[in-house]
Amino acid sequence: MDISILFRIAAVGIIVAILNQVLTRSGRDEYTMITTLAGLIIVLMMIIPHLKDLFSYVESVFDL
Amino acid sequence: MIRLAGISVIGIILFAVVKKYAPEYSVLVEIGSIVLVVWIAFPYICDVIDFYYEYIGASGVDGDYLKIVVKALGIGLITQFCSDICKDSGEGALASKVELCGKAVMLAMALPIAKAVLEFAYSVINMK
Repeated sequence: MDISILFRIAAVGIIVAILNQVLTRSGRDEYTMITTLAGLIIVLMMIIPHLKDLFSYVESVFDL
Repeated sequence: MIRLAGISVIGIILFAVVKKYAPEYSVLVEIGSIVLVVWIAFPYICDVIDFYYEYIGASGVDGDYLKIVVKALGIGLITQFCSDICKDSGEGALASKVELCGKAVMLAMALPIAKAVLEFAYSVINMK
C-alpha cells in the first residue's frame, strides 16, 4: 500500500505502448491487441488486491 | 499530509504520461492513486467514528440509530468514490446511476428512523 504500485502500473502501460510500437514497425500488427490485453490483465491483477483491502477496510470501519 | 500531497502530485504526473502513450491504462493509474490517498485518510476516519460511538452513544440515543448513521456515511463514501471515477473517465451516465443506487440504498436503510419518528409524532398527537 505504498507508492510503488503507481510506478508499476505506469511502467506496464509504457512498456505495452513501446511493445505495440515495435510490433507495428516490424509488420506484425495483429499481436498489438494481444499485448495490450496481457498488460491490462497484469495491471488488474496488481491493483485488485489493493481495492479488496480498501473495501474490506471500509466494511469493517463502517460495519456495512 | 505531506505524503498525501506527494502521492497526488506523482499520480497526476504519471496519469498525464500514461494518458499520452497508453490511454486505457490512465484510468488504472487514477484508481491506484485514489486508493492510496483514501488509504491515508482512513486512520483519521476511524478515530472520528470511535469518538462518535463513545460519546454520542453514551448520551442515551438508541444504539442502532447510531449504526444506521455510520452505515449511511460509509455508503455515501463508496458511492462518491465510484461515481467520481466514472465521471473522470467520461462516463457521466454511469456515475449518475451509481449515485441513484447509493441514494436508494441509503433511503432504504433510514426507514426505521423515519418510522420511529412518525410513531412518536403519532403518539404525541393522540395524547391530547
